[in-house]
Amino acid sequence: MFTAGVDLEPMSKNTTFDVAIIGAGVTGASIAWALAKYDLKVAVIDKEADVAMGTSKANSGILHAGFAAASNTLKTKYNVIANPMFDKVCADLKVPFNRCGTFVVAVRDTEMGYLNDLLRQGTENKVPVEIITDSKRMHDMEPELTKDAKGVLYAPTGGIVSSYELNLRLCECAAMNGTTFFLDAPVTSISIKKEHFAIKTPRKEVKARYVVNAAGLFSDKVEQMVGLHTFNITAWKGEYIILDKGSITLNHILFPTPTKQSKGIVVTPTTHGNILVGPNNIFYEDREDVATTTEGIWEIIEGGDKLIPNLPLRKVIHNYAGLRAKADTGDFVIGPTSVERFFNAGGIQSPGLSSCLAIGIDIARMLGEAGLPLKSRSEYLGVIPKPFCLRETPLEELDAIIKQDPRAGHVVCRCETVSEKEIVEAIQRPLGARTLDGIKMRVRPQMGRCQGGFCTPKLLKILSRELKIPVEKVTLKNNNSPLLFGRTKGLKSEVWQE
Amino acid sequence: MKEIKTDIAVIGGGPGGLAAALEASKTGVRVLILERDFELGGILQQCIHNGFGLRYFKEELTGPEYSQRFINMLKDSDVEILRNTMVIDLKPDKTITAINRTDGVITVKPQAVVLTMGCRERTRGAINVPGDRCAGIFPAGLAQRLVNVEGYMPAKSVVIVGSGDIGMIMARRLTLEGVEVKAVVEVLPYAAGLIRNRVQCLEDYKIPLYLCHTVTHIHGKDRVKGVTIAQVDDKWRPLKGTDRFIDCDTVLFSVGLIPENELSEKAGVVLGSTGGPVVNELSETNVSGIFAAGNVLQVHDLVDWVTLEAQRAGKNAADYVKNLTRGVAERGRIKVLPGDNVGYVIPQFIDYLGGDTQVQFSFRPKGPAKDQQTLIESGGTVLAKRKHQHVIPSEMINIVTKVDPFAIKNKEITVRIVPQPEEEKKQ
Repeated sequence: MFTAGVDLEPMSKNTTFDVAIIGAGVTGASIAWALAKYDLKVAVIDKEADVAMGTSKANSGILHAGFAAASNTLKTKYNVIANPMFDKVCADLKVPFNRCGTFVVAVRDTEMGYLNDLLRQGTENKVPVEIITDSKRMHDMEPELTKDAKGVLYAPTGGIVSSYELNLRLCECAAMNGTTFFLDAPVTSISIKKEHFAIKTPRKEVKARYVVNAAGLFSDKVEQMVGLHTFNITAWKGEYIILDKGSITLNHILFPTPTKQSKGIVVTPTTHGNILVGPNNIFYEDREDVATTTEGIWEIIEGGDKLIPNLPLRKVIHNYAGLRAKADTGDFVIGPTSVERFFNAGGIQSPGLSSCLAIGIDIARMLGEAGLPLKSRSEYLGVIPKPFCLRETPLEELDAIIKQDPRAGHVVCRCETVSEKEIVEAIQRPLGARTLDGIKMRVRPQMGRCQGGFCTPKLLKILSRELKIPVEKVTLKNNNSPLLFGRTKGLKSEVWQE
Repeated sequence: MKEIKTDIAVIGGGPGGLAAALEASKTGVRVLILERDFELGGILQQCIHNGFGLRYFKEELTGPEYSQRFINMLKDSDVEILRNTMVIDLKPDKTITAINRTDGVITVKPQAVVLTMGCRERTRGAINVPGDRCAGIFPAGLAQRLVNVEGYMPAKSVVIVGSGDIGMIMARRLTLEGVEVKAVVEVLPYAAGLIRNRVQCLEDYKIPLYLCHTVTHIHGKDRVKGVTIAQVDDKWRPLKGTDRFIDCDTVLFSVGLIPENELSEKAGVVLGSTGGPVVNELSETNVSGIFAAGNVLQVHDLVDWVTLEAQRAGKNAADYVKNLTRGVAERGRIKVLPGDNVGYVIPQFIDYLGGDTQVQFSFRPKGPAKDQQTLIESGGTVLAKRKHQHVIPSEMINIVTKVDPFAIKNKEITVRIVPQPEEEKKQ
């Protein structure tokens, strides 16, 4: 039985889409969002059973200011254009975002040179940056910062954003405006026809006149399906630990001075009040290996400790890893290709999240230049109403809501204070949750300190009831990840009802 | 918004809450239990094995039987109960905000509060076990709930990480349900839970217990496919070359319990080394009129001790409401400190507010040892002494003794566990 993943198919079987986007990460989502304004038939295809299941859900959640890369790179170009867009887009789409500012911390005198380099780069990139060497000022701004700090590069336009929620809401906005999503649909081949591309997946063949390859870690493989070979991807793992809410108070994102390989191990607040430490940067052959390692966890703990001494490790609630899709060109791979109507948006590693909105808009522009008619949609929905959130609702208002909908008064997740109403709405929304991970990403149960120890049975039952499937058919993230193997004592398999 | 006035609010209707509420109610004060689940009894409802009540009832009961006795007593009392009700805030002035489906937002203004929220399980993430994040990784207590209450099978073949009591009990429970329990892996050189559970749940079923071992990796992209375990050195670091792969579809974690005090902290309650509130001999926290008992205060080995501790807290909360505990002039706090081989001691302070000099000391040894004695001392003078054939961290020690306020020097008492003198051993 197909439980995870969705097809929202307003189109008939033989629809030829105007555009097919391969990949529902934050890059593909931004492209879909940018195209949703136009009167087009757009499809998004992803191999996973939900959107935001790859790099976009396991990263640092940082909006970079744009001082890190050279001014002539695509990384800097898109990062600098996209950065100021986040306030409005996150407000429109109800994505948690906080422009809290960035610190790059030099803990040795010898590291001050790096800050000067970044200052020069930032100034060249037209990004507001300054160097603070007054110890009192930097510790007033960031009281927990190591006393070893010799100086910091301060970039006030840096921020934190919930990357998976941005990804989700961009997709939700696209879906509300008629975009079709084919999930659990890994692309196996693409044939170039006269007027269109035929994109094969095990479940379905999707026809589209234009194709945008936003396939992240597999973007080089997808390009090869149309006979191109302009770049190669390698996967670089970044591991993280996440600390409970209330462990320490941080006002800014703290970076060490960068290495040639990466921006280093960061200590950052998250938009939900946790503290995130990571990532390291290790090459992996397997592009799907997101396992954490003992060595990696120790590496990030040691790295974090340099910026915030004595990290409260007993407050650690989880560890995870993501993979960066690094292109051998050294930059993003964005634009038209020698195959007509086939576009790349690949090799989007850091600052990919920070650049995605601008990449989406620019890809839409390029598609227009290549002949795609960009006529504005007459009834475009660009603002998502704020979904109900128990912990953010004032008590008087909450009382009234519960009287209308008693499910708002049923707390399912005690750690994050999430009600049944929020969970049901997360399932019922456009591109709703179909799995436990889907619920977790959308409304946070299992994200807290008990990691689902208490709420999992309730979530299984709610998913069963809402999806009308037996409880034991509910999965963690896809059809291969069931939680249960049937019933005890020969009890009957059934859809849960209260 | 609904407002409820009561004398005592008990937060949590598990064994601690039930005992505290009943005992307080006996004195004639108004008591309200706020319970988040649809039924009372707390975690006992999923503990369908026996072994409960040997001390309190002098008979062997299952978890639900044990809690039912108190639930029945409650029916004959005036205690009010709100089920399906989640407390979302507690203020230092003891104002409680709770919500449920029928009443909406509820404000409770009690004169005293007893915290009996229990504990939660330490997670895989909290102990930094690396590997994949796939289906089939459960805290042992969650697996227990799925099997015993919900009636679902979470495993076909399992490795259990940690030999806490829940882990060992689940090893037996899953075996009885037809699951292949491949191993219990314990980082310590001895089983972490009670000896009786090691014997009755592992040895009787020939389930291998790997001591001084840890899980170094969980494998499986979608569902668990196996674990790698390795032997550890005395600093719990994996030893090279001792890796072995065990194929399984499920991993359970039974690696300790953490008192659940997020609500207590909102009220300004100070926590101590147990993860629970710092309390005086009345089980009163630093916030006047807020008491704590049961696993929210310290993780217990036996529910019987929870009952006794909560009864005292309930009684003391009632005395507080009736203004009975502030009649005695304060002598200034006495600090109670853990000494040799003692992990922590409850209470952390003696205030002599009750006018009674009888104090119950609860503590756990840090490590196992034979032929020991507990010395409760002040300034070199022994106030109380108790002999033990053996001590082990999984077993709490409870000593009730009179503590003469005039025998205390430097406002400090120390509790230590030391070997018995040779000549006393022979006796």
